[in-house]
Amino acid sequence: MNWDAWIPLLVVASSLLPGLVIFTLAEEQVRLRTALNLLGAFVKLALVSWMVWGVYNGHHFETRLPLLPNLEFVLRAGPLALLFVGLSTVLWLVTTIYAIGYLEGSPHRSRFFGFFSLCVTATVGVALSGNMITFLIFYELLTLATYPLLIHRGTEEARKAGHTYLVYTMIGGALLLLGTAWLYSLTGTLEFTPRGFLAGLGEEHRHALIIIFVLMIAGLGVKAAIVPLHGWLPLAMVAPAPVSALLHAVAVVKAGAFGIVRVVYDVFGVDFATGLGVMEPLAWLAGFTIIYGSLRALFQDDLKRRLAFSTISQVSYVVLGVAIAGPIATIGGVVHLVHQGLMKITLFFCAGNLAETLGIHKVSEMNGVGQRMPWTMAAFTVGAFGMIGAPPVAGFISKWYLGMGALEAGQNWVLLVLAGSSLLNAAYFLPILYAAWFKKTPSSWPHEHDFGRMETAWALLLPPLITAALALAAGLLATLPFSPLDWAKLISVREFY
Amino acid sequence: MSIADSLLWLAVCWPLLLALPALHKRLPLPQLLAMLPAVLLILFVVDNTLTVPWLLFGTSFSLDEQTRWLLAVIVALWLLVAMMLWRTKHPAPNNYLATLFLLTMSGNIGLILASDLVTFFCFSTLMSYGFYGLLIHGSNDAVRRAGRLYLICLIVADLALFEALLLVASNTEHLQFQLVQQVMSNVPTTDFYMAMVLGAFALKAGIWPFSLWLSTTFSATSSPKRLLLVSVPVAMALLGMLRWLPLGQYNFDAWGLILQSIGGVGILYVMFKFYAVRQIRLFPAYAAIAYSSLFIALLGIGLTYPSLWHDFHYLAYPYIAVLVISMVCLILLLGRVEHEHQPPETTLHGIKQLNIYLKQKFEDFIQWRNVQLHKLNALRHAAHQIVLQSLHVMHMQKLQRLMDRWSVRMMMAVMMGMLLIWLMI
Repeated sequence: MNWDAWIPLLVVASSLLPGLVIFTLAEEQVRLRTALNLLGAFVKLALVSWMVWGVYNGHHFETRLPLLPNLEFVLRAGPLALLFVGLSTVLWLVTTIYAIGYLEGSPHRSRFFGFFSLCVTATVGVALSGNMITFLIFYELLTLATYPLLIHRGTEEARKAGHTYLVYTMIGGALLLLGTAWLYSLTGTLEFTPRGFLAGLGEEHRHALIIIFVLMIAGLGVKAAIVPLHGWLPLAMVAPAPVSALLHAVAVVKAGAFGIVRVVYDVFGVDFATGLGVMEPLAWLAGFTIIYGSLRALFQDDLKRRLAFSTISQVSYVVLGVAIAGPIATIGGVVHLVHQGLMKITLFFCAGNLAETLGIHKVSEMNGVGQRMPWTMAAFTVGAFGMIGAPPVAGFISKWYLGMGALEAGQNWVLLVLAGSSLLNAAYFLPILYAAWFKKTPSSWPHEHDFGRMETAWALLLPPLITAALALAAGLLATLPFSPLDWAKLISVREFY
Repeated sequence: MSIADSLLWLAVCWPLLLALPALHKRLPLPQLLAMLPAVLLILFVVDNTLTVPWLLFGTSFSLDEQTRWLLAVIVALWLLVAMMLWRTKHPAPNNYLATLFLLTMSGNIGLILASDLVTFFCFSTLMSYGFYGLLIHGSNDAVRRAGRLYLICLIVADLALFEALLLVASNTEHLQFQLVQQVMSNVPTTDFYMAMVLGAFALKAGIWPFSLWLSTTFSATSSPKRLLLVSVPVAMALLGMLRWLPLGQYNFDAWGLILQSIGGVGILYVMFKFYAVRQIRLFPAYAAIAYSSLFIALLGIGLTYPSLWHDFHYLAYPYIAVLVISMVCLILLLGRVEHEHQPPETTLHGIKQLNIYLKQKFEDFIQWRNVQLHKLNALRHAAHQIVLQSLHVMHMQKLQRLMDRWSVRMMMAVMMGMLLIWLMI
């Protein structure tokens, strides 16, 4: 095994080991815990940067360890994997800084940061998985690592939300396992392969393969919050803001969407899946989810709940891009994995800032908050405009490629979905901006904390500003090398040409 | 990067940069400072193109002789508005007004200088949303309601433009205006593209039948913002039509006829409104609608006769500039009339006085109108008598009834005549 073969494993270990050590720390060991968190995050960032550079220049990073007879534990850094790993790594670092500020003085911080690190470990593992069995291991680990974070506050509401989450994701996991086992019985392999590994299977397996596809998509669709499997996500907004941010932008929801991308591209293959006739229903389902999520978001007064329904809608753009089954739509779908992550994490950070600083939880309480917290609301504005798809924020790039891809594939109805979604996004985001910037500031806030000259703690303010700037940069500098768009084009070329 | 390139770049980016409150709070007269690169650009650069390949999908700006004059008019307008907005001795200590002002201005300048569709769309978005903020900033409920109507139109228009953009991008990689006009004139999706572009810009310009937002917003807002209202969204939407439509390429009979009809009906609608309107302050809004309608009708002729467009297209930019100048003059004139009789403090008494003044002026106008109508009636009566005496027809009473309703029928005859002329052309 050469040095390159160890790097994917080191990337996973860079958050796993600090996480395990953090579990053993006492509550008072704040500095050590913070140092371990940041050390892990920076080491991971360095390793991922190394891999990105290597893959761009044709290097091969793969860790292969024996697991079961005929099955290996495989971690591989391909372009698709690195897109997701890159997102998770950058946002983990930012979320860690945010969480340090957010949880200052609150109890059970060692437990929180331990599971937080495990959660990122699982996410990175999901991204780097080189076969379906490795994917399944990390996918289930992600479920288990997220549950304690979800119920961290220990309230009755949190426990109920956690219970619902566990029921949904366990059933999803079981369906995915069933589909995977069935697939293995047919093919004898689970190795992710560009353009899939099912092309050799005969016509007699057609019905079985359709059922397997449905099982796997249903299993992954739970985490991706595709309607009607989305019920857990709006309830999960009871979690602390850093967890919500991680859940919606980096870990759970994205793992589901990424899993769908993996199954379509590297298990079934786009052409084979299209031949099975499963892509069109998937596209319709994604289109329906996009509109449904936006419609539900329109009627939520709770800010985080509104953002949760927005996630349901936005993550399905990824699924839609994949299901349209064309090279340009693939770029749109895959790049939205990153773009949605940047924009949504900004919005959740801002929601957390409002809650922590002023006690604001509802949209109806946000009148004039732009005067009190201008930087936070400026970041929120960038995120919201990105979600609407206004140029030059990242969301515009995603919608551009999705729309072009739909036209290329002759699926013109997608344009209506995109237009409808943009309209609904505008309908539920612009009133927030209007209230925040143009309505009169109330005489007092629900629960205000004083941070002196600053509008809030720097650890809370810096992360949304960074992610908002990244969302803007991802749009403005989309054509530069190593941009998410450039990377998505690389993935599309690999899949289609 | 040459000095001309730098000026092109700075004309757009400098106001954008100054929009940051942390920056413009520390500078004296930031609104005027923001215009400096644009002014230098107008004065010293005649013809230049700047391409920024790394920005968005490849951004490009260009300045030619025609754009230069339009930019000069727009910059002068912004200068005027800046002086009007900040002329009071005790301006509200609110930085957002300056931010919104600079964002909108940057969008406006960028839109004029943009030489490709995506850049135009980006700056159009910046300008439009910035302008919405500017419109409702520190305003009353009436303005906010009107602003909401504008916002809805804006969102729908931007969606339509986005769809049009996608159609273009699916047909060509090059999004420069000239190339797009060539490509989009002869593809299967041309009609859909035309519908999207025309619908979007008609909404933005407030062209009949989408003129409600313009008159409503105009009636509710204050003088400086009124200047921007007819000039920024309306004039820039007309500019958008010039740039996005495949004019002078092929013969588009159907679209030409549709535009001419809309333009014609729009003008008639304005004539009717001029006659029926009860608010003198709305006159500039309807004048703007009339201007836009005429512009639409001329564009229709251009679509029907590409050769004619080639001969006269150079008049389009001055037309937009004249629209801006004349609307500004009209609004300032009416504003002056209001201002002369308005006391320095905005008291209830002052408002009452203003009301009395406006009422008196309006009554004067009605009286003047009645005198004119009376003269017209006398003329009609005289003509009537001459006709009766000279013809000596049998069915006098029937003819008399017909003549009594002359106005309605004459109007219909004029409309039919105009329609016939258009069809014949």
